Amino acid sequence: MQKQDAVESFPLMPITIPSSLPAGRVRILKQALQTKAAEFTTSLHYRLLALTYNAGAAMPKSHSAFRIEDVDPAADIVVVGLQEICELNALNMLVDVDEYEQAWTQWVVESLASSSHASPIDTHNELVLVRSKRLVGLLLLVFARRRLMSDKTVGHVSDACVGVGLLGAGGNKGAVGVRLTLHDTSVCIVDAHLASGTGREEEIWRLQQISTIANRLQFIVSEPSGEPRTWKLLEHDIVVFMGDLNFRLSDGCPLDDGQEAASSRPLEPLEALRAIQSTHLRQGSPSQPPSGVLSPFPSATSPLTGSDPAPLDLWVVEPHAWESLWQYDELIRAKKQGRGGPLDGFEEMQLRFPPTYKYEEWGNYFDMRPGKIRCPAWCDRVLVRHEGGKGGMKGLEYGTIKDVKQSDHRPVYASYLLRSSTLDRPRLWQLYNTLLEALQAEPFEHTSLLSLDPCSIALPPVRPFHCLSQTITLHNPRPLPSAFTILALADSPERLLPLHRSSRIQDKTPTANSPFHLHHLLPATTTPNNVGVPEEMASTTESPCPSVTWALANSSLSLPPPPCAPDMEGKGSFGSAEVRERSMALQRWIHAIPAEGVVMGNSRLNVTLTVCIGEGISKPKEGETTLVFRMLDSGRDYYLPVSAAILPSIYGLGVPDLLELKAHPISSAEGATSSHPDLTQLGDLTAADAPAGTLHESRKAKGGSPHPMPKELWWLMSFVYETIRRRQLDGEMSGSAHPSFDLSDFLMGATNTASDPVCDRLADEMERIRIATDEGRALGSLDPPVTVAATLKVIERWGFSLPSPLVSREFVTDLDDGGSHLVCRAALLSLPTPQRNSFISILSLMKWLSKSREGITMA
Amino acid sequence: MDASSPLPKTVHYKLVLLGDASVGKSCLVVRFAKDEFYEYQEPTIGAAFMTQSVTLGDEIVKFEIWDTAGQERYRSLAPMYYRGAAAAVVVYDITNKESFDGAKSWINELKAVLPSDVVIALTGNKIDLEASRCVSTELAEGYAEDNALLFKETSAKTGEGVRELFDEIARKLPKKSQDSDAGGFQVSSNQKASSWSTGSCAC
Repeated sequence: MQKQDAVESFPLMPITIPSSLPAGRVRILKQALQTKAAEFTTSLHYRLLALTYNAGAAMPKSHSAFRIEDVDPAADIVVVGLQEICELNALNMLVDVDEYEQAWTQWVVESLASSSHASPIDTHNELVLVRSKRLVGLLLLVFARRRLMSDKTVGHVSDACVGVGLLGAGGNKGAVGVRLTLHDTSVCIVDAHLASGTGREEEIWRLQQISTIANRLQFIVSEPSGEPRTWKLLEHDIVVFMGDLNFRLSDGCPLDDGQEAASSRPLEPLEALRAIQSTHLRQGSPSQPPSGVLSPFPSATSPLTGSDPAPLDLWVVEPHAWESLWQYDELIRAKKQGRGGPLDGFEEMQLRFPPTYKYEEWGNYFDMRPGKIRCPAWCDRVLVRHEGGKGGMKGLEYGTIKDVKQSDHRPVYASYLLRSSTLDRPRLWQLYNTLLEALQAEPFEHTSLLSLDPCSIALPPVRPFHCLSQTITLHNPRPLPSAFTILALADSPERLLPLHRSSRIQDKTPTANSPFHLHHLLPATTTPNNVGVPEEMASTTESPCPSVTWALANSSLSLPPPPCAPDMEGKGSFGSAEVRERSMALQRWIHAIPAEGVVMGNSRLNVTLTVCIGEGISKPKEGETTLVFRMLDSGRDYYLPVSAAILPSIYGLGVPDLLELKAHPISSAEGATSSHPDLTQLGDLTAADAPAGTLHESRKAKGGSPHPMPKELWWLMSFVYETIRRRQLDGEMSGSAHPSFDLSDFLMGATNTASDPVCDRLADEMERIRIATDEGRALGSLDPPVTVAATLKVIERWGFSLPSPLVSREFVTDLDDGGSHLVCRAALLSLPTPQRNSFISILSLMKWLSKSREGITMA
Repeated sequence: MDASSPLPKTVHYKLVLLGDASVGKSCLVVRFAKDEFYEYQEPTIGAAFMTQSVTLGDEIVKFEIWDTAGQERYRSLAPMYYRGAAAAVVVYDITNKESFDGAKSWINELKAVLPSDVVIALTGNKIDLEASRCVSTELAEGYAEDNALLFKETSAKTGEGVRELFDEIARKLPKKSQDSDAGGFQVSSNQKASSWSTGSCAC
């Protein structure tokens, strides 16, 4: 128990900070300890190689393997994350077919065997598989040199997975993870595959999926005491997050102007690439005549089509030329704006290689075949986070492998120098005691005076997945600087949470100008950028975004109560899992940049508040909070009430909430009520093609109340059913079939098979479908008409946006593990009726769709 | 530590001011802590911390005071400040009947949440406005007696009763056995040694 407390209190080190210490001083204490980290830690260095590859849903061809010699032959630990090792179809989602896993594992093993450091005789240095983890198309393999295994340097190995795809839990999208310890340093490796597609909404969705993964990915490890302990992703000293994150290049910075985010316009891929290719040829490459176009994005009006079919070779481009594309990268931009959620605390090396998507399979050129062209994108990424004195990561190389051409992606690798440590605990406690006593002896009274403008904020109505922002000016009229942090009132009273982890903490640390006279605790030369990090690690990873130092990032996760209120967060426990989870829930809708900092004497500082409704939050009452601007160095809190009228929507409301609104559409639009699609029409679905026994329960209860399935889901499904049924009848009559949709659109996301202009249209359609459903208008009467594919995507997104998945995680895990039908059946029966109905109906619809498709194609 | 020490012993107590908006909480604190009065004190949108000491025989009672916002919309934030308090001053305005009802509701909340040894003082402020009085002394005194509260009427403007209020609270506070004249803010329990002295591996 003692131990548990300790770990929770200060994830970095086994100590607890007394809750009576004001936040500003906790920060100073942490920083001081980290400055002295060298005194109580012994560092050991290893090389880690991370490689991510979207394998393109096929069995591997052996001659496509990479050679570790070409990447980092000296790596001590190799982590390989693959995505799409098999097709993401319904069958593969339910049963993990072993042959893919075996074949791809073999492919990786062969690639690694090329290492000259592991000659057949030197088994000591051989790379051995430590752990592998599979979820549908995701496969993560962790290798280490045998000597690290035999001397128990590597320990506490555990794995986990989380599906965030179909219905919010399917394994077609998601993440697998493996965690282990290297001495006293915990390392977690995550391989993720996020939602595809271009557009603002898709980007927000990807960011949501990252939050979900960070929340749900949990590892169970037996402690030496025998007690199992759960570790969440961000509780590890070092986290490697890699995979096909699917972030695209897009235009504009919708958050900058404080306006509602406009849907981002995809770049003109050909123009962009051509311009870069023609103006930044690598020396010695075959020269091309200068095109006269200097800007990578010559004009928004240049035609997309009718382009020169000449092959586009990106490998001849000077590495530095790619810099000009960074500003268009969704991930870099989101991190810069502090919207990256958990990824804000991560660092990425600079992208100095061509976008890794999308290439001709087995070819060298960017794919320009009609219908195959995509906006070029760095879909495949490797990011790392190292918080706390116990681990460090120094980026060595980040690149792509040109010659692995099996899929339309190219693999991305990143090699690091990893610092792990062992702690000298008695020395740590001794230091800690000394520091704490010094800090507690300082008097605590200082009047700060700050004014907030405006002093309250009421934002206009906002729909889920849209963003609004507003600037607040903090004015400090006194000569002394004031350190602040922004907290928000959480769901339950008496609980305040830090608002958001800012990625720009380091230049706002209060230490240098703190009114405390505590500078003697810190060496004069200390800067927050390299606190506690040995010289060689100090430069850390080169990152295009501002990086978070481990020293300060943690303090924002965990703030002590105001002076004299020791119980505010339980026992003042720092960064406990619960607090972190709630904090994330809050972060889902309100962000502040910076969320903490210092207002210098006689000056002003602008804080941008952004409301962005995402997963699980759309109840109007949750759009209200009071922000507390807490002065860290003195006893003063300033309140700022914030409200945002959140328009209720099908996205984000739970099944029970939807059922409550049975009589009216979610957002009652004038005159809309009369045009409801008739629910009884769906009776056809049961009668005609009989999706096995699905809907009769709903029909039974039709007259009574409550309706056992959300009517909005019913409308959506009924539209799909009727549209296809009508088409089938037309086809039968005219004798020709029009398979105008593809089931895989539904399973994989329609955007995978559509070209970018189509994606835009799809996003627009989805928005119109969503609004029509919210307002209770019939989908069939929309003008212009909407497609089945978009409707299916709305159903999918609805499933994802549920506050809790339709089916429990355990159930999905059973499926992933190939659990028995009995178990599944029992799990299904244990669901509340509306949830069960919804789930079975969707499954039946899918079954029916797949049957219809067969019928169509056969005809 | 040493009881026979010639130096007076300092004990720290956390005290919180509660009550409806514009009953004069901030004015009371400013009068007590700084002996000043501002006719047009701005509403407290937040919370403010101040300290002031009262000498009581051979010991110094140092109050660490949290002045809170009275507006109803911030009521849910109040528990953050009254948690762990040794004393609470619930203020109403003698010229405003509603504020007296407000005080009663604060007292009910405190009694439900805080331990029974917390000293609660009911304070009728603004007695300089005797002419507009709406809440009689007898009524308030009776209520305080029924609920075992300290009772005092004050005027932050003239200073009348303010010092006495805090003196009386200091006398009624349970005696602390520990000496804490190091200053600072280890206000409530001394939880320092409990958690970190035997921690171990975090892996």
